[in-house]
Amino acid sequence: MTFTTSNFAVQSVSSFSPVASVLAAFKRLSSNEKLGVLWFTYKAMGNGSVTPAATGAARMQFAEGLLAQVKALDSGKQMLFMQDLVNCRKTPMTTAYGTLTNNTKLAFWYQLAVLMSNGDVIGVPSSYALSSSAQDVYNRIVALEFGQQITLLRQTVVNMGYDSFA
Amino acid sequence: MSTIHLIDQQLVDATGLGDESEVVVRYFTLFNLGKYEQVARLFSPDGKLYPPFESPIVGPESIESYLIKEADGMTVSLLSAEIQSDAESCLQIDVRGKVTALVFKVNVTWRFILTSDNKIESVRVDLVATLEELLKLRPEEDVQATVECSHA
Repeated sequence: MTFTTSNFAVQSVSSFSPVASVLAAFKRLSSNEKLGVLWFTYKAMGNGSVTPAATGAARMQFAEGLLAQVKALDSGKQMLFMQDLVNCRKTPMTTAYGTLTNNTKLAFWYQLAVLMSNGDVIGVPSSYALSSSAQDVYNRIVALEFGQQITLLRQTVVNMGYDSFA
Repeated sequence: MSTIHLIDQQLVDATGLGDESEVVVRYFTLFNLGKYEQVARLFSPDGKLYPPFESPIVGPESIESYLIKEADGMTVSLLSAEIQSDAESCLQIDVRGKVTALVFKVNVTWRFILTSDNKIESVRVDLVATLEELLKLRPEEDVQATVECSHA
């Protein structure tokens, strides 16, 4: 098996695509705004187009371990972990996230959102309102096609955490 | 190096694809086994993989690297396939199914264009909110696909 250092990752999103421009706007948000936008996007996608699948894949074992660590934290530290994650700050837990494969990162966030929904991990308060710039990014995300939304979420979460090899 | 001539019978049964489109069934069989090097070798030397809303990945070597990075952990189940045209010495096959990405599933369509020597000229992957949505190409690439086909 060869691991080539081809440059597909850098050019993977066409610069002219709507996904790239919304992604750029998303990156300019603060960490709390990013978390808020991700949360509302997840809620908006709960319409049957993304359905849960049975877990148990061996590949999920590292993500499950990390999720268990997050659950064990108090709510303040859970919040801090999520902020560190979106800010790519180096901590043992964000470094662990950085070692996950792309699909496992996406799966991690999906599971994290489920934990936030059922109260195991601190969620976004129902009274929380997005700032106007965050609302603008959210509006642009929901206006995208479904495939574009998934692509955007994927591009967002693969770049989170701390990658010790970067 | 030898290629595994391996077919997942369930995939054949789901799609009804026959010998003329065996390469498509091999694509999904090997994909589900995580044999990305062998998946990549099903493409023609300038074969293209169009991931959803990303630039095309061109050539078996780049396709292999891309799949190792992006597809690991995904499995495909197929629902149906339709041979759209066998004119102009190339075959277009539209496939519908679901991709399970570890903990969730999404609906996906694939549009394969095969060369006359049974290699994959291109495959276009699209995520769809519901399978009721008709298979549709992204407009800006529609023309390109037609040109590829007539040159095959």
